Amino acid sequence: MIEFLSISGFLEALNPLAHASQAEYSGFWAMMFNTILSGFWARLFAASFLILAFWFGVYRRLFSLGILFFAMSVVLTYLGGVIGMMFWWAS
Amino acid sequence: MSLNKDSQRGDVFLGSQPTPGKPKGLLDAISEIQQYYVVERSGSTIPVDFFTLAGKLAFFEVGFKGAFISGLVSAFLTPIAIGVIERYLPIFGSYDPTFYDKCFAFLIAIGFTVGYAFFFAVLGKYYIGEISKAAIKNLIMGLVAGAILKLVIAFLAFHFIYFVVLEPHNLAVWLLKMRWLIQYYSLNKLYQWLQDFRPVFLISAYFVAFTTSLLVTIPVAGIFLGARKTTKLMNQENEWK
Repeated sequence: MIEFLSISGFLEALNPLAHASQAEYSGFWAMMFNTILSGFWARLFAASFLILAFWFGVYRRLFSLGILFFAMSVVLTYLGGVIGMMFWWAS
Repeated sequence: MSLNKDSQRGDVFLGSQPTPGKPKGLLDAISEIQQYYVVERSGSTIPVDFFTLAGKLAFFEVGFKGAFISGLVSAFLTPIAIGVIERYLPIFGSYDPTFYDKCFAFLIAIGFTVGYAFFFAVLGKYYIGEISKAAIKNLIMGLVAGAILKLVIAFLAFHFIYFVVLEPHNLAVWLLKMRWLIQYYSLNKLYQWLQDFRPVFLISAYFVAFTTSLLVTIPVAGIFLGARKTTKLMNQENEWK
């Protein structure tokens, strides 16, 4: 506990490789890429977030929530491509 | 003669003449316009001078900032969307976009601007009295000015990228400066890709002009239609009275 409270302990806790092996970690992102960030689920989530952005931003006039959902929709739409490029670069 | 308690005590209330607030953001501006609408709809008249020059400027500023920022978001997303449609960039992890993907990329590119424009369009409902009209007009003038400035900046920037930054000779010189960081093979691929991607910026410049026209047209049409509806409703109410 005390180790965690120190700065180096905190930074060590942030390092994903302290909790999983490199293969497991890259496997996690590959799984994210194959499930949430590409294909059917990415399309569904991105469209849902865009609809929510319009619903909250325009209809309910909760502008900040609208921007948040719009940003999430943009991230879901293009992040898959960015991660795909990273995999291509690394391979 | 009867005097109320305050008069009997001789209390004097010092106060300043209420002035219209200076909205800091779009929500503040709409709230202010709603307040003017409520007062003017109830039949009370507010003197025209109530809406000071500073107030007018504040509404103009809100419209200007909103249009400029929403336009920049749209301008940033436009080359990406066109890159997706032209198959230079991936969408949902794929370089082979379906019809749905192309439509979605297009929707994302114009979504922020259209949403923002509809946000302004609701103001038509409140376009009735002198003060409400003055506030909305200043807000819309700011919106138009911001949209035009954004259009000029984006149009010039995209043309600058096409004619200067991605000009084959200039691009080769700049890429060769990165040889210490990136292998020659990768630089060559990047050069080829950027040369293929280059025309996307020209298309984007004209696409931004199209989205700017939406940003101006939707609120103006919305205000015109909304104002007509409110006026009809008020005329009906007067007839029933």
